[in-house]
Amino acid sequence: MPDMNPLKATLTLLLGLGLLLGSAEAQRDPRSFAAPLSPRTASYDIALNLDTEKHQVKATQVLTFTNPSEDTIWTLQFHLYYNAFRNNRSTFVAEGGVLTLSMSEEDLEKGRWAWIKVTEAKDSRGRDLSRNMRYIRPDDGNPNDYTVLEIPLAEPVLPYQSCRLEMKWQSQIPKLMIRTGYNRDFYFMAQWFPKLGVYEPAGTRFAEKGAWNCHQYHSNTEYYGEFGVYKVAITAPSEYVVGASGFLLDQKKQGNNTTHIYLAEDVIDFTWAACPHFVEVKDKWQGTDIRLLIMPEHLHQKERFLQPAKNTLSFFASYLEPYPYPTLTIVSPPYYGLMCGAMEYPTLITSATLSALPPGIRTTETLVTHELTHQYFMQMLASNEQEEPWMDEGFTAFFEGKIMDRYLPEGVVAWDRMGLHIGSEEFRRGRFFEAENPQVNPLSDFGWEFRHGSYSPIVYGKAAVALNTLEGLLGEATMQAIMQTYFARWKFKHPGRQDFIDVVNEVVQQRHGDQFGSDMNWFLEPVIFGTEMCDYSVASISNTLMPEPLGIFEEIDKPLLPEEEQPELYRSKVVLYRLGGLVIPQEIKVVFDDGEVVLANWDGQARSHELVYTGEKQVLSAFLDSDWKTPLDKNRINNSYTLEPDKTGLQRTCAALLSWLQAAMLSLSLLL
Amino acid sequence: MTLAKQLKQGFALIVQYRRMVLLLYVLLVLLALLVVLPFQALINRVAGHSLSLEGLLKGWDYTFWNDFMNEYGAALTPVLQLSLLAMGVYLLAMIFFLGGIFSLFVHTPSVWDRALFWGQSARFFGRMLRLSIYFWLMQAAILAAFGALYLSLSKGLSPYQLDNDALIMGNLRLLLPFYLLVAVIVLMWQDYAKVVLVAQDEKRLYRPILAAWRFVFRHFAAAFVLYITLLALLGLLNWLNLQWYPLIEEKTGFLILLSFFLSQLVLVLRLLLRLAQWSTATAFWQSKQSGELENNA
Repeated sequence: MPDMNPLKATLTLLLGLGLLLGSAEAQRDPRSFAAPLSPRTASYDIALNLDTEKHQVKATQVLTFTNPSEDTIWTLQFHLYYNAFRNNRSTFVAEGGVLTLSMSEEDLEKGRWAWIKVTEAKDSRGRDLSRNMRYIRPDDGNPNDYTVLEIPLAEPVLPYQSCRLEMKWQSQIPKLMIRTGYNRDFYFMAQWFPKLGVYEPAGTRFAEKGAWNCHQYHSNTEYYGEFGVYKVAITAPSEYVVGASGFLLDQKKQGNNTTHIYLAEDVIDFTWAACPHFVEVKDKWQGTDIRLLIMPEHLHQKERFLQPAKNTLSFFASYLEPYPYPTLTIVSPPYYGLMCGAMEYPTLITSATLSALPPGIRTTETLVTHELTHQYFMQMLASNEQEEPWMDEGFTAFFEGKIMDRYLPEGVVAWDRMGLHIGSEEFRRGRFFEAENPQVNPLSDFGWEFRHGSYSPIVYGKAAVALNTLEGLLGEATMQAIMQTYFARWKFKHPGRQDFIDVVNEVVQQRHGDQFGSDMNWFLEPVIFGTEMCDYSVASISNTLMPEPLGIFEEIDKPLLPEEEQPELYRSKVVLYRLGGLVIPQEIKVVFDDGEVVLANWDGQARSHELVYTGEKQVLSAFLDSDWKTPLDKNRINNSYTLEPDKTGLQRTCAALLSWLQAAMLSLSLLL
Repeated sequence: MTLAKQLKQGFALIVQYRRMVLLLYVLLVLLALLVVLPFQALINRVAGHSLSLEGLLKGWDYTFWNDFMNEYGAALTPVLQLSLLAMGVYLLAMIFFLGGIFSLFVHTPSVWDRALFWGQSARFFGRMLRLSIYFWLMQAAILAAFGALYLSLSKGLSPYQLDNDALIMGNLRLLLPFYLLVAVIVLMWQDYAKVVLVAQDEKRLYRPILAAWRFVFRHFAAAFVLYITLLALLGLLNWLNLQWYPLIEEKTGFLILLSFFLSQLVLVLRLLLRLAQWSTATAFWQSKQSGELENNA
């Protein structure tokens, strides 16, 4: 080796380092974030092979986990969601009871159950950790549930330090039933890999001390993940069109297979789909590439996906913050993949359509809007759907209504000929109140505690209607300020309900002082933790002619006698009731017979309340919440009372009913 | 006899017996009122003083009806039951009147003959009822057969079996014309069976059924063109109805009344077209019968 001058050697070293860094920079995909958006606590490098004959996946996986706490962590916990389909006694099946729907007789007879097995787990020093790994059942102790795996470490992860875990695993993909699986040649791969739970340091959400939050797979809920970077190499037969979270880094063909390498940064999960029949439609919204994977028979419906996607992205760009990711993939499954047709995963969503879906039924548009909204509520604001599902679905349902009503004001169900126009928000409200028992659970329950069909009406419906009511009370500007503060403060973190409550109280105090009291807990707590309903009514209106004053009064010398020219005085009384348990202050619009309008306020506390007016005018009508600020009020019909009802609308309805009935009878006569 | 002549003759019979049309229309109105009046009273009772009634002016007010069903839906059950009852009564009444209607068309008295109408209605009621039931069973069997074929082609609409949802509509488009064709032929056969039943006053139903089948088979083209022309007129009428209906914004009492009268006009025309199917079928059958008699002579 020739002797070298130390300065020359240093310069050479610096030059070499510079070239190395320069080349690394040159290799960085321009779509990659220059600076991380999230803490990147758990990052994955996965290489998988999809076997489309056996419907199996074989993979190697390298996890890099950074301890986010001051605790010393001795174990890692993983979700193995595919084991929910390993038998018919898992917690998922026990709660949902839908497994056998997707399994054929033959599947059952031949024991074709789905599963996922970790075959090897090694730490960075090559020590085998698989011998001590075990299944745990933190939620219900169900011995037949194998959806959470705990791996004890040979050496702990020290505070804020990282560890690396190399795994090999294999899975049998379930028949598509709900969210994930395959049917024929369509694969929708969600919750498909051993995914690390979330380590919650003390003070995070409900955690009093640092602990893993890694629930079993429940039929109602699925999301809670740690932010990270996913580099996933998917090897599948070359005829398959693949779509995945993140963006395509590279594609390599090897024999009959192609490896698609995807990179997704600052996301809580990774999902992919594959089908040989997908047609790819490309579009763009500002800096985001939109990729729609759609079946040929649905291609004529493509604008029903793309336009709502662009509307939603535009809405959030102005309402909160622009969508930061470089790509958005929308998967429209085939009819035989319909069971995953309304799902949300980071930068990849699914939305179903049908070839003959009438344009007036906005299901596809609603699904795109809803699932895309989840990129904000659940993805960037990574709340715990399993424990606080309303913070995910409820917020999303609230924004879905807002966006749909703004961009499609003719309604989510629109049929001009019949005068049928149902807005998104009113449709959501209607579905909540028509639930069999809208009081069966408070919003605060864990996802799997919602039983008897209560999940959707309450988690989606009640939460959305409650947020609409909050907006009605505070005004749109304050609501937007709340959402902006909540998002700015908690994006790429794990907010809980108290964090939202704190933001509401802070923003309301800043903008309104004590106008609504010292805080908004009087509204938020009964709505989140209670089950009471809201129902206020105008019970009656009376106008009683007051007799003229006659007789002896103080400070008047002689008794008052009847006078012929005395003006008539009325004592008008409006009686209001609080029929529900939920208390919300009310604004009452009182209209007098001379056209005068008086606005009165009632704190809404008592079970009944009177408004009394004395004068020459009579009260004609009274309307509680005439601007419909309180959609939580379950009965709008009793919110108003008038002494001079306008029955024109009823006449129209009755005339139409009469004609419809006659038409139905005449149609029957065709059978004679 | 040309198609135009048959239609003219058929409609002339209806005009001649316009009192019968009036009777059938009044029946239609009264039975519908039997449902609408309690419905109106119910709405008045629970929401009569509510300002939300004004929302009904815009058409279908989802929130109003949703809240109404949630809060007072139970009270609507008797009204719904009443509407089913009214439809059943209408069907039975129409079966009752079939004997009278066809007797007028067959015997063609020069003026409205009340005694003939009511008497023959009563006389043929039992047979017309049985005849209707036989043909309903036949129609149900045809519907079931086509339904089974459709489900079989569409693999039970199962997402696990069906290749492509375009087949759901595709198969429907493929099968529906054939189903409608068969169903219409059976309806036509049923009408001629009624003609034969009344004209020949048969006690045993299989005879008019077979005779009508033979007649339809022998004169299929002419009978079918006549029948389908009237169905096309009915279709045209319904299409026109759908066109004008949204044009009138029913926001005032006058416009509601105008829209209501137009609806009633359409209903009367639909009733006339149904009667025309029967009167033209009777006239056609009679013309063929007299032709055959002349040939035989």
